[in-house]
Amino acid sequence: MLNFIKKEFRFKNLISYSCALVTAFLISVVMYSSNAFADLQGIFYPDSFPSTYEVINSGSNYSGLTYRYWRSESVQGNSNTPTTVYFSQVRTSSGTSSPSGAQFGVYKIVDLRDKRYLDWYAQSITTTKSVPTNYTANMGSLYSEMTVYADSYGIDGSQSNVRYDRIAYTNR
Amino acid sequence: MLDMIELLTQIVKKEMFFLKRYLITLISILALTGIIGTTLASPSNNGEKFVSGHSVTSSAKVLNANEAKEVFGNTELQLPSKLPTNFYQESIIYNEPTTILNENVRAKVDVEKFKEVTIRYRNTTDNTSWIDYTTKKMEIVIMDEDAKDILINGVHGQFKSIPEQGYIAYSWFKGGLSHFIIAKNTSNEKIIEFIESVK
Repeated sequence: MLNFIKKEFRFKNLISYSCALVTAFLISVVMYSSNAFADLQGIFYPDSFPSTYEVINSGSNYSGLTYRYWRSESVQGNSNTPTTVYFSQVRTSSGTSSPSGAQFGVYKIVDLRDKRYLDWYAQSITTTKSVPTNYTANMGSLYSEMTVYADSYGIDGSQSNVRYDRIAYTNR
Repeated sequence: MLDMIELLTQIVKKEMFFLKRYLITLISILALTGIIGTTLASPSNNGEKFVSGHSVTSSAKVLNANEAKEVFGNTELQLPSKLPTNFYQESIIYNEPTTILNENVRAKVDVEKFKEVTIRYRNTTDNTSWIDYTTKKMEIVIMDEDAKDILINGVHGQFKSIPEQGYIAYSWFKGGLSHFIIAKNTSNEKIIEFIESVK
């Protein structure tokens, strides 16, 4: 067994394994950039299944403040190629800010109109909060957006530190 | 020609072990990542699905007054003619989120409707007292259950207050534009005067 393992770690064999890894990586890069894994780019494709889309949001300001939080959106399309999507709930959790101070602003669901929720307004980025949104949005140009005041003074800070964390919903 | 084919055959036979390991490893990696990815994205037994990803983050763009006036093209940006005492115009920021939409969608929508400009007016004597005034072509609706329908500047609008934190919000649609205000630590009378001076 040991001899077998030693054989496999010969230089020539290590080259085969390395080439395979590099090829797999390149294939992933091509598929990623061709939207095959577009979910990772902030774009989701809802269908008729009740789905929870969990996104990690992160950003920074020009002075070095960094923030990070999770946002999950529970949605369900009216079909597998939906024309409408029902948003039942939105939740934020596991937020951090370094240095402390970053705060949430307005949360929006934007389709034909800009629907604003003030439930998170001026709450610390560390806030864990679930809000029943109960809204049926039109597909077409649909996205959701959380405003973050990435400033140690939060909402009271500089407007230049405002950040927008967005995800889009579309059909394939 | 026959010599060349024989040479190629010998090279292939020699490199067979390399090719075998390469292909087995490549197929295994792709299969494993495919299985893991499908499992993560698959509906559970009751049909519910969990999908993970990463949002796209953009920064607010800081504008000067002339740039702000040009954002909405032929539609004139309406500004307040009366500010509360000690208030000044501190900053203007711009948000245009359409880049997140794919090209096909962007080609079909009026991207002008997504643009929004927010002006902050701050109290020089108290930096926690300010008014954020947002203008947007798309209609803005406050969805909070406790938002009240009101009449504002002669049109139907909305009002919401968060008194424990000192915030007041107003929203109305007039002159082809949505007007959305959030103010902090500013009296409602001053906010109403501000709103009524928007022309």
